[in-house]
Amino acid sequence: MSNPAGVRQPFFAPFVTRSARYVRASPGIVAGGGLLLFMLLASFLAPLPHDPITPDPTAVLQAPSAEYVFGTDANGFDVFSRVIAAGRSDLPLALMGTLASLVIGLLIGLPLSVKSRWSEGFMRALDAFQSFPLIVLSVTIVSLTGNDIQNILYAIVIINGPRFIRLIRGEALSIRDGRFIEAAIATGARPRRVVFRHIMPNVVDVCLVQCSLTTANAVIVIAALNFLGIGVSPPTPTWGSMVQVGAQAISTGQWWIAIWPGVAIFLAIASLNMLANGIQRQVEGS
Amino acid sequence: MLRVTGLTSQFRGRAGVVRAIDDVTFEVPEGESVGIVGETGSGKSVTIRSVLGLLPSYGEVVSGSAEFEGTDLVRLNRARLREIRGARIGFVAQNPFGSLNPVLSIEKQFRNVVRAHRRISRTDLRDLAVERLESVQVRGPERVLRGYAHELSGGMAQRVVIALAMLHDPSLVIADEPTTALDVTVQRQILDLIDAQVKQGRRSLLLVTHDLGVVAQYCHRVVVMKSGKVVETGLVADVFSDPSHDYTRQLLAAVPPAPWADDVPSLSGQEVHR
Amino acid sequence: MTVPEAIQAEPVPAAPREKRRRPLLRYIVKRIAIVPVSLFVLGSVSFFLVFLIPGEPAITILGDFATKEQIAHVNSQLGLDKPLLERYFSFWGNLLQGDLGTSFFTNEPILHDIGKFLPNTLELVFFALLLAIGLGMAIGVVGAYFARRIPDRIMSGLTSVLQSVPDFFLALVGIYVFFFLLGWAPAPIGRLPIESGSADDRPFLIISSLFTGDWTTLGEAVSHAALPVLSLGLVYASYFAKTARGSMGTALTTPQVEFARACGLRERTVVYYAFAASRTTVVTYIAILFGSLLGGAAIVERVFNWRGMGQWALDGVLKVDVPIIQGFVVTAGLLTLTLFLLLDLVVLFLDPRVSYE
Repeated sequence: MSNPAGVRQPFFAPFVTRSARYVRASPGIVAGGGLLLFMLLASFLAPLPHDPITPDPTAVLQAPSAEYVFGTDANGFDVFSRVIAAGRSDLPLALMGTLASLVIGLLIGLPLSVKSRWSEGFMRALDAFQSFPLIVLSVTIVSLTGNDIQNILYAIVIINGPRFIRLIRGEALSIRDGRFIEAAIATGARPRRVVFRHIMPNVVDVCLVQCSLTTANAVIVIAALNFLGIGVSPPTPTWGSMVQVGAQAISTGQWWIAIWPGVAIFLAIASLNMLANGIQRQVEGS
Repeated sequence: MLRVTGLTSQFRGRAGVVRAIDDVTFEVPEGESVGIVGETGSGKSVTIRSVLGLLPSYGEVVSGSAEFEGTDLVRLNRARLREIRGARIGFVAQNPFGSLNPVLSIEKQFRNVVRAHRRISRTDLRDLAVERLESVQVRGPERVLRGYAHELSGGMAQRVVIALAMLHDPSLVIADEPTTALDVTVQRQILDLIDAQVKQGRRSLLLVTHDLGVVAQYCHRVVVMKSGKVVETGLVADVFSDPSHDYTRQLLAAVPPAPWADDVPSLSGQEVHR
Repeated sequence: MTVPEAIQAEPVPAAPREKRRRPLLRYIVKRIAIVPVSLFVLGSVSFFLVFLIPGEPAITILGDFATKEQIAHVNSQLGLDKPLLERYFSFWGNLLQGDLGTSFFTNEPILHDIGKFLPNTLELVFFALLLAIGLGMAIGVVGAYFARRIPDRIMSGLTSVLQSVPDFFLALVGIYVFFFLLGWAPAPIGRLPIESGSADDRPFLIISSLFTGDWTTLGEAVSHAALPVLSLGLVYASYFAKTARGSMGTALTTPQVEFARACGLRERTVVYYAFAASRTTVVTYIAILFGSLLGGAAIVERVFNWRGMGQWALDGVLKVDVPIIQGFVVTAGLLTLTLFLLLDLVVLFLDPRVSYE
């Protein structure tokens, strides 16, 4: 968030002070944020005992042991190394998807916060869109546009963009009705200035909560798509595709192949949910 | 009848414990009407909720007692307290639309309130409900019973609430600012109605209000509260003609001269400036 | 709560009823009138999905080694050899006649496939939704009633855990524990054991065997459905729990509930009052969740080889079988629209405040 140029300083300043306020004494934020940070650091910094993309054909379906901490899968891949390495693609991808959704939400949600027939109509259309099985639609789009990992971003945006649009519009509408906006306009501020100086910082609050939730959802979407074999090119490790490989072995008792990446997904989502709950509580409390 | 002694309640919040009322003591004698006055946040509502056991889950009575017909309501278990609420003590709240359930028919709400305290056959229940609605001057009671709260006007809804509160002929009626949410034109009607119901049944009334004119007109005694404490209590005539506490004097000075002596139609429209 | 229907059975004068019914009817008609519009959008979306395929669709579908004849065949199937407008109109003509085309790979008529697979999905989604609503509401109501106290903490903890598990992973854990370790559940091989033959032509196994009294089939069907229903239902219960906790929590602090207590109502009646006032929120939420439940079902179906519409659609998607994709988009959209319509009407009867205008 540090911005040496300082162009947007007035906008980011409240954000920074708020962040500082949140961190202070909130178990959810500390635990959730800590866990997430730990997972990110582990993904990039933890030493890998084996090469995550080179299988060892002599060690297939090994149960967890000192040599293979999480065991090996049917191809002889080391599960531990792959679980760690998968975080390198899964977590940043989820964060990027969230960022893209947020940008979409801001770009569409803020202009829509002007009450008009047109914006009402758009929201209706959005309702209809959201009621559709979006995961299937995004599977369709990702597989139609090509089996590329970047295309998963589309999937995340399709599912989460509308949520941001709705949230940001609603928030901006309610804040716009607030007295201080009236005052700002009365003192002669231009509408655009009102939007960016007065509405934006307030929207940031709720967006922070939604960002955590969206990242959690993005982790699920990525895992689900990879589980279906979409957006992955083997042998690149991803949690979802690892669960898929493990799914074939779980009926015969080789639990470790699917469970460990599943636990990683669970921890990532749980940490983000904790973070969201913690921030939510802080926002409500203040 | 009701004797509140040293009642102290507090709320647990994020910022720690907040004492909402402190050592509140007053009495509602048999057959008399007592008004509690004070500005917003002075603890009026917390006092009656402490008495009725209606504090939210994060609030509690720490000490004191509220003796009603010989039993201390504060120490009563929940089941016994429930038997007293609605049966021996009737409650009329501020906003009639807030009080009535929005999605249950009025008849169903009557039925639930009656059945909370005694068994009754369906035809008897309907007769009773119609009779009670008529006694609070609701026109077309059958139609009202079939309908829902949102179909009523504010005044009508509050009449329904009063009928519900009086359903079991309580000996004490507690009214929490019963007219604040209503149109100025019906405020007086509702107050007159409560007054008449109380006098008819020789009940006692505990009326919470911020309107000194109302107290002057309808109450025998007054309890003046400020910041969770009782600052003055006594007969209305005594307190209003010779207030002993500065705060009471300020309150009185805020209303036009001696409205309680005159026949001033309504004070509620007046602005209170301190 | 006790004997509530008795009152409605009483004779009611006709006049006020009449007055209320007509605007209601008008509302329903208006509500139904939206359906064709939505259908138009839905059909168009499914038509234009094909344009998302980059490059030449036939090559994407058939792979790089396709022969000229194959490509020409797919192109004529897709209608790519005709002008756009003509294709669009013939697509609509076929769709309105219920003709969704045939699969590129199996040559099965899409409509026939949907008839075969949709009931299985509906069965799964129905029971999962039932479990999700029941359990979710229970968790939410308990949490709201004991707000900020220990039961609330436990319930919100449970909600968070369930919310953090992807449904397909929960399904795998279920298979490992209940099939492999404990042997309570059957292998994840479909809706019936292999000995019982194909289950494809036997839709709605649980309900139909319940009515015909075929207890053996019922037992087999239930034991095969248990894990998929549980893994979907538990995850979605957490969403309902969150909503129910929120709306009940608000409802329980309203003056309405305070007044009910002040009237001496029993606690369970008080909770019912709050529940009645907040139930429309939850009903509306069903409509919102249904879409994602359908999507979740697709993946879970795949894990359990459930042979439902979701699994069929996913297989079609992975093979870029365009008619299957179009068929699924239209069917899922229709389902969602129908559910929205139904739930709107339910809300209408649950909440007298909803205006018909």
